Amino acid sequence: MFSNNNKHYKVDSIYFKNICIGKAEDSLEKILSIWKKTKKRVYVVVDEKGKVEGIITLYDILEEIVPYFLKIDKILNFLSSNELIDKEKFMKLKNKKAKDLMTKNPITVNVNDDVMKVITLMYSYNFDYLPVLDENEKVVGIIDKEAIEDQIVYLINND
Amino acid sequence: MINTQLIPFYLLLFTLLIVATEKINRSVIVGFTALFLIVFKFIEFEAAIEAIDFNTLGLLVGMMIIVSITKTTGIFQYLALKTIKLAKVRPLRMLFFISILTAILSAFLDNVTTILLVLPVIFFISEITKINSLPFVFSAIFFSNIGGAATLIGDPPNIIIGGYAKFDFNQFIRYNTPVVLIISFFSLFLVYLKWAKELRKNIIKTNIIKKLNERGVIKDIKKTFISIFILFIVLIGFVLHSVLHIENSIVALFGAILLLLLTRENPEEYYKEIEWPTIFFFIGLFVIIAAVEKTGIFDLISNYLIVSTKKNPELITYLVLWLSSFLVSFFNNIPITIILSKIILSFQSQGIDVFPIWWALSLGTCFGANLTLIASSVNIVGADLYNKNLLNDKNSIKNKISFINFFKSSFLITLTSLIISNIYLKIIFFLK
Repeated sequence: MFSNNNKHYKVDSIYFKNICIGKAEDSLEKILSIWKKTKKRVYVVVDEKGKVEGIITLYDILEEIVPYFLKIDKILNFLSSNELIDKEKFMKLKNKKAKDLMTKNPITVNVNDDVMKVITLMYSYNFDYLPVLDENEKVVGIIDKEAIEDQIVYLINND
Repeated sequence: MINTQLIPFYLLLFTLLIVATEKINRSVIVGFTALFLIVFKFIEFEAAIEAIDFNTLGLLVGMMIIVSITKTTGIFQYLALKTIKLAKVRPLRMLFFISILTAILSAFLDNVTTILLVLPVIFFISEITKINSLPFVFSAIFFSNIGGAATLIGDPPNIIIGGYAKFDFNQFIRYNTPVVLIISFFSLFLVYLKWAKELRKNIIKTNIIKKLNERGVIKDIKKTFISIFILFIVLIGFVLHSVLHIENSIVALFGAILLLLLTRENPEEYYKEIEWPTIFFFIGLFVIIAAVEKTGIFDLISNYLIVSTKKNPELITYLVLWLSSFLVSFFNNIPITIILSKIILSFQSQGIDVFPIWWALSLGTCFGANLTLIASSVNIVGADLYNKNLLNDKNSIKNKISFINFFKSSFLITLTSLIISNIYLKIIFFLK
């Protein structure tokens, strides 16, 4: 029965410890090269004490590339073409700092939180990633959609 | 000593000041004042309900629904892109065409909606051609305010004036449209003087505009046709007002419901698009101003104006033109129009021919909207989008639209519009 096994459904049993962590001053170039090496698509920005300052996903980088007119009028989407690729813009983008790109103060979960809380947060806010903190508010890992998928498979097969 | 009878009047002034500072949402502060006046019996509940002009509200809501559905079809973006293509990559011609299109659109759509449709297209052009978008943004703002003056439904002040003065759609076409055309012509000339030199320097190399297939924005042909058809029917309904005797609000609401019925769109999505803050702002103002009206202060002001102008309707007309344009430059145009309408009604009760004065109010409030950055929502929204676009491109932020550089560009256009309006009023009403 589910109710008897509640202790298995905690964040600490499903989160990934292997994550990309960096500082606010890191450049986009550095972030992208780390992603390339680790095959990860999320970057957690922390301060000196290891507390989360922000989180960067691929979406934050797309946000910088997409022209402003498409953000305010989605009907004009079809106008997108390679002519909108502007060398200068990408040169500037290369030197952007993590602090310019990150989503500040992201919603986080604790190692002792229930998995159901993670599922609810991911559903409600359409998050792809949630940083995981320990009791001292220090980042220790991340939960992504894959971890949730695995957990759902486990729940379906182990009733 | 404070005269307690005049409390509603002081509250009105206080509320208008808060609205001007934009520290609190205008619908909230106006709602607060209105309810305060009802709770403390400065106005009876029944009188407050009676003061709310449901014809104005119905017209606004109906048009908001029609426009919010029509705008999802992409037809307005199609028109803007078609216009750009017609200009054949000549920047100056592009500026003229965009200005004229903006004026025409804003005569039939809400001004803010117009600017929200035109600016993205301008940003697109500027992004691929590297032309400075500033002249285009300024012109779009100015012509959106100018074009709005042309019709009954172009600008909220006209809707309010239409309600109080009982003017129909045709009268606005007859009295306002000609002067809007003249002013547009002069304004295009001023825009030319200001930016021709800079725009001539730009040579557009890209051929993406020529290759542009503007049909791509229209996804659903059937819905587009239905929307245009309904918009057309509603305009016919307005034009035939004097024959059919159907209130404008009923025409607009009927069009909105028919459009929802025919397109089978999810109404909830479009009900959300109704600008409820504006609607509640109107409701609150109607109540507050009715409470102020009860104090007799509007009669006092109108008496004072009548005496000081020696009961000269011509002088009062010009006074209302300039005063209203000055007032809307610093306060919101909606309360100013309602207050001045009440004063004009008081002129009328004292035997003055107010017909020309109504038109002076309409021209003054509509063209005064161009004078300062805060004079109308169009200016604020337009400048805000332009500044955000600059930020997005990480260009130098020194070209930001500020209160001062807006005024530098707007002053001459506004002054010219008002002088022409003044001459126009003189010629059609007072020249024997």
